[in-house]
Amino acid sequence: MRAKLRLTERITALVMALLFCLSGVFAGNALMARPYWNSPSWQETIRFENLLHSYIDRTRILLSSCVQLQKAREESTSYVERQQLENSVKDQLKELSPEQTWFRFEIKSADGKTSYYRNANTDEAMAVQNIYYAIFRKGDRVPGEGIGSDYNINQHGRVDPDEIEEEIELSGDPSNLYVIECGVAAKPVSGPRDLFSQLYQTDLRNRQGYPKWMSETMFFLSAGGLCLLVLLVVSGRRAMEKDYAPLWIDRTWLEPVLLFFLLIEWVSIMWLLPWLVGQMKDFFLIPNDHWLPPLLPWCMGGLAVVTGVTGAAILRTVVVRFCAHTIRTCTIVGCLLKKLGGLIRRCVSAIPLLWRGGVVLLVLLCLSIAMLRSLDSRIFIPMFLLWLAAHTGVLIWLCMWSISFHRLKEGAKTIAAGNLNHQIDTGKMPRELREHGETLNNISQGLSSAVDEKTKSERFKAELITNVSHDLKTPLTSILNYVGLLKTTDQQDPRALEYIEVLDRKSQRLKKLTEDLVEASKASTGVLSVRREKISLSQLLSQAMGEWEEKLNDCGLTVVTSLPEGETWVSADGRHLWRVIDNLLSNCCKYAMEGTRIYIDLSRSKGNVSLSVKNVSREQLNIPPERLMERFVRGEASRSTEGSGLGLSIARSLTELQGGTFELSVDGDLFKAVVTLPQAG
Amino acid sequence: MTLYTILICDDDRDIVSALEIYLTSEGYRTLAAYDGEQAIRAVHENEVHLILMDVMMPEMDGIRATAKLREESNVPIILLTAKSEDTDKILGLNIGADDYITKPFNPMEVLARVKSQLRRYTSLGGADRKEEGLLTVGPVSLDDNAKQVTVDGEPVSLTPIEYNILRLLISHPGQVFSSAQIYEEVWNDPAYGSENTVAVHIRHLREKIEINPAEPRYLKVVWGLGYKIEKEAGR
Repeated sequence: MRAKLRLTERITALVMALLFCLSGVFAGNALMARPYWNSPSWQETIRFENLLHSYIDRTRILLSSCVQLQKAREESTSYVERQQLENSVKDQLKELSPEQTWFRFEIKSADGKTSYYRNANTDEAMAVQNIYYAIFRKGDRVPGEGIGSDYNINQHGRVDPDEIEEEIELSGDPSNLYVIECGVAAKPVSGPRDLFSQLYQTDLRNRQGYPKWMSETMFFLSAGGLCLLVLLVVSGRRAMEKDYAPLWIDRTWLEPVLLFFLLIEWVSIMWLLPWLVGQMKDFFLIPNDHWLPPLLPWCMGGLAVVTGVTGAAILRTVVVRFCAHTIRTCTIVGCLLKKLGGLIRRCVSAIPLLWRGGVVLLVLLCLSIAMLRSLDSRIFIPMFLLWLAAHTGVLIWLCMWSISFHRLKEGAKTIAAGNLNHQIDTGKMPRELREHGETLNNISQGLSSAVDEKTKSERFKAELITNVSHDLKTPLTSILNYVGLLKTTDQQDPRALEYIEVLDRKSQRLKKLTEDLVEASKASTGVLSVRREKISLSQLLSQAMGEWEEKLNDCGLTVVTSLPEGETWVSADGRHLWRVIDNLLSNCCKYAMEGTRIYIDLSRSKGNVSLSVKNVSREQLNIPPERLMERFVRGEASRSTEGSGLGLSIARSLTELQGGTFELSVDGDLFKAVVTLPQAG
Repeated sequence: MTLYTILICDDDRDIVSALEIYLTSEGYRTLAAYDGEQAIRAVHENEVHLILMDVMMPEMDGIRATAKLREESNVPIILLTAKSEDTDKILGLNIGADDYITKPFNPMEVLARVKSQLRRYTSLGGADRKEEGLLTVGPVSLDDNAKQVTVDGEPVSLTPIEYNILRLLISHPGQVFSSAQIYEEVWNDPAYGSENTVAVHIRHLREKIEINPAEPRYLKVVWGLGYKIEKEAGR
């Protein structure tokens, strides 16, 4: 979807262009009126002087015609010629009459005493603003002219009366000289309409219009400027929105666009504008009948529009790019700088840290030497400042590094202490340290997820054990109950009694097996809680003896214990250790040969305490000890007696849970179990 | 003899019927309930003297039912369950149960506990009678003046050594005594190599006092350290 300028932007742009156009038009008018404004009066202008001179020329022609007529009358030329001359004089006089023109003149003699002709009365003569003089001399023919060209004008323009006297003296014969005094009224308002009055009107109009046009120009210009501001604000705001889709002109490289617009501006300001202004100045000198003048203000307006719109476009695209933060990406310079920066960074990062430090030191050293060498020269101050700046930069860099490093250290300590969710803030760190921080964060994340996994599986295992045991024990309870009830019923059939006996035995066995199984799995998965304390092993043994002595005697076994002097303290959990010994002794009862002795020894060495239980086996042990410790493996391959085969496995798990070791060894018929535990205190 | 009514509450019907048979053969009247809600209703509608309650039941489990019942009455409650962890036992006893039996249970043990609880509830009235010279822990009371020991009101005959050991332990409930300390106190002789004797005597004592000597409630062995009498049941 192509991005388009929004309606507000378009309207604003149009209004702005219109305002610029109007201001240009008024500026054109003002420029054209300025020469009028600058000249002190309308009679001080070149146009007026040109016009005046043309009229003075007419006066000369009149004069020469009059002289010719007089001559003709004296010399009696033909009637026709005389008549022609008379007519021409009459026509000329008519043209120069007060009814036709504002030009007032008087022809006088050289000394000023005789006035030959005058076309103004005294009042009008007083109304004349400036008096101009011309001196005519009767003389040679002026080439190119017809009748009455016996005179040529020696002096033009406004001269002082003193100069006339000078001129008269210089000209020789005063009787050939005629002095013309002429001029135009200061304000030719009500009267004939001739070129003078037109000139006066134009001057008046322009003189009055100039301030007005100037103020209007300023007004429209400022209004246009305001519109431009509004446009910039609107575009800028729009560019800052999230879903901003830039126009093509805002998306391309900035430099070509900028150059293009600047070129247009350059052309219009440096070439077209001076040309227009020149034209306007020229127009001031050129008479009215040129086709360009009415168009000039409009040309100016057009120029103003072009200049203004181009300028607005430049400003707008810069502002938009700035607000949309694309100023770095969409400019050639920006891209180059970024690439250059990236290149430099890659080069710098390729060099290992040590070398970089060395290079920086070297640079600093060179700077210091250069600064010292320039101590007496003029460039000392800049060198010193450079040196200072370089050192400050290095200092800042070092501070940043040490702060970031400190942060890393603290973060790593927190993570190591167990807070696995701690994330190190790697916001403003130098690149290497930031990577290191991110690595640490990754490690902590990995750790915490691993820990979560482990706790989940532990919980799952614990729940499994409890649920399974509960599901096993409930029906087992019923079985035991009803077998017990069966035993109380009166059964005559001896076979029934036998069956009940079997049921009873097996269900008891099942009960023992279930309990042992739950115990074994709890011990091996580490779900059991272990509370290690300082325990007296000799005390424990005597307690165990208290429980087992009679039972062992009933099995036909004697116990021989050998304990060291004094107390033997171990770091263990009393309940679990009792279970281990209980299992070992119960094994003795089940598997030892009657009439033999059981040896229980306690020894201390090297920070450990060893408890060994030795007995002679009833049956032949043709199973390796390792196998014996596995679950469900029993000494007798036939598995006919009671016993679940879990006793040794449980004993080993419980020992290892307390941080000890459990070893079995079989030597012929001698069965030996050794439990080793760390000594306490 | 008054006819005691015992409420049996378990979601396994076979266990309920088996227990009913045992209890009725002992002369108790029985009521059956199969979940917590029914148990509470039965207690509201009938006069019940003891409740045998299973823990894992639908609708309302035994622990919650015990808590609810304890708001209104202090009928003795014995919890039966397959959950045998210490934490479960402690939770049950804290909530308000008087005793705790794990499955699979020995029916004889159940009967003995029922009798013991009923005795305590009816004849002893549930309040401790602290008299001079009378030391009581749970069902065991030792009258030092009469040199007599009763368990749940029934007299038990002990040898002098056993009596002295019991007196030592019961006068400091909760305190652990090592074999050596017990020997020195009771025999008044320094103890060497005499720990076995103490252990044997303790074993005999336990068999006489405890309902189930294999799972003692009060006279406990602290393995590797000594022996003690518990202040409260089961801890």
